[in-house]
Amino acid sequence: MKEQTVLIGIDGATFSILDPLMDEGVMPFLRQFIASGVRAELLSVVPPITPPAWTSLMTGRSPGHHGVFDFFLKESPDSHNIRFASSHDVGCETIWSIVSRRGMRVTSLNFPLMFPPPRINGNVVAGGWVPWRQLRLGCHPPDLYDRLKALPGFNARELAMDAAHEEKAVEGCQPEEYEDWIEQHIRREQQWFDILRYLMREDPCELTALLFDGVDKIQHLCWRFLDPAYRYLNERPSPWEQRIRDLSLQYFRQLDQLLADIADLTNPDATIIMASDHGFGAQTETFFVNTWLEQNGYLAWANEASPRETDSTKLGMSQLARHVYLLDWERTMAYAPTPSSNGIHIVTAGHGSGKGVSPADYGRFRAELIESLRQVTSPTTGEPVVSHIWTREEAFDGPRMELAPDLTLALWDGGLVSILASDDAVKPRPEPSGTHRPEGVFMAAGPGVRQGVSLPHLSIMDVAPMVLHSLGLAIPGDMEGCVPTGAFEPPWLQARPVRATAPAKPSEPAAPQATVEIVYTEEEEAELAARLRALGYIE
Amino acid sequence: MKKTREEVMADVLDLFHQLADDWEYSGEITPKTLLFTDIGLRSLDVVVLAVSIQEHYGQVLPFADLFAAMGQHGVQDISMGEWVDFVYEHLTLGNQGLGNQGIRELIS
Repeated sequence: MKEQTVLIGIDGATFSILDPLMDEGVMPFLRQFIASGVRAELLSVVPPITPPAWTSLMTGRSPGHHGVFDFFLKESPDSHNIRFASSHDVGCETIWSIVSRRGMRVTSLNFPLMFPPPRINGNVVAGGWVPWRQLRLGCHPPDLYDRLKALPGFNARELAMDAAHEEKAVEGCQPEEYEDWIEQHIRREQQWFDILRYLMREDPCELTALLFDGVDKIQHLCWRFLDPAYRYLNERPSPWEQRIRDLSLQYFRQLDQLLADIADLTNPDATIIMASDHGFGAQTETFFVNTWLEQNGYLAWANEASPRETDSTKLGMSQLARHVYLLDWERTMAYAPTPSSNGIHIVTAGHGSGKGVSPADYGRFRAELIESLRQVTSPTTGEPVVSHIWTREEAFDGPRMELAPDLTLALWDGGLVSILASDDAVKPRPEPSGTHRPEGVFMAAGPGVRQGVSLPHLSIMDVAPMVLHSLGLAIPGDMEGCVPTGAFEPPWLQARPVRATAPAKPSEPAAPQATVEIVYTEEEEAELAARLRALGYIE
Repeated sequence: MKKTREEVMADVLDLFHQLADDWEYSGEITPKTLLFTDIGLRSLDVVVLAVSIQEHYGQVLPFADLFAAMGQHGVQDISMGEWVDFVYEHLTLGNQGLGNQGIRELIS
């Protein structure tokens, strides 16, 4: 194998946490790695959340082109229904596919939007929201799951997604649940490493990639135990607080050891790239955006007497897709269907159910809504709650923007909105939690890479071309990211210039046309109607 | 290629049987088996299985409409037979899906 590149994703990693941990000796390998290579802030996409950001990293394209804006997508531009985004929704070719198509082998582990897994030349274990019960279906080739199942310590329940468990990262949990929750993520990262080690030994590939996603989860729940700005405020932590802080640090200590172990498994002349999908910071308030829309006449609940959420920390992850029947579509003009993307959808007249905004009035309505949102102020600071608003064209310009939200909000504290009904539109949180920031991390070391250099910020879309270039491959002409040439020693780059090639292949369409044909008897139709009626699907 | 309801049932049962060992589910899976109560699936399991079924048939099926209708009408569970009916119903209509009106027209 002539070339080898290892790409390590660290979901949510930020230098505001990593730097203090390196200084304190918690992450000695990472400190040494950065000294032997380059580092830079890596600017994420809008919104800076896992699905669009990792998809941009994997494709070198912006969300308006690859078509992933959230964990969920509207069923169609005119529909209020949402569905999980899958690999079928990724509209641009990924680096896994490009590298595979050029005759090299690839291992890709735990990256989101990879379910169902692409049939590349190599190995895929899909990440993201793939439950353990379906993990077998997330593996490529088909026999991979059985091989992994035979590894010592393999535990699908802990390796894959448990939505109820993961939800605690953003919705919080009881104090007595913290320890188990952190320890499970420690075991989970170890399992992903064990799989990586097995595949690197048994089936070495030119491109090997693994995403550690526990950093994001730990930082969401345990931010106040990690961020120096908070942890040093508490000079006399309780025994429980000290235990949680120690356990959080143990997670990072173990992560550092796993990174070192991966480097040991890698050829000495390989390129190692580490990147995160976004950064992190504190969220101190919750903006109940649908409540605000209701208070300002843009949204109506079907049952206005239904109970209101009193917990200021609840965002509504467990209430997803209920807007379809919780809202009064005759009176709703705008709504936020998910708490994960800070997106507001405008209901347009003549489409779907309800009255909505007429196409002729859309521009005026949207401008009025933007102006109103800018007036929302924090009850604690008196400052605007919404720090930036992107229209769909500004954030998602491209051939796939029609499924994107009409407006995307950035909140002053970087927080995620709540979609729940509440009495107040803005509430302080009792304790700060972790939430996303656009500034992620990029670190790289390897042949030709400068040593001990801190670069100006890069775009997350620059990672895909960097990976391709490190493997000696040309960069597809339609990639929006660029090879960060400042990362390389000039003589090395001169000997190995960046080459461009034809645009990447478009991804497979969402699904081909129907390949089967069904013929009904009258009896079958009648029986079918009765069953679907019982399910509530027809009336 | 024409598919009968029985063939669709066989396809879906085959998918479930592939996974049942991983679930450590030893019960028999029949058209009457309830996905949530009997097998112990959760909402996300069913959503991901829906993606797999679409992958198998190479066709988008409007599962989001089904899940929304179940939520709206307070339907707590779905049997294997009902699941197959839904798939079987929509495989006839290409990528557009039916919608409530379309289903009413089809069965009228």
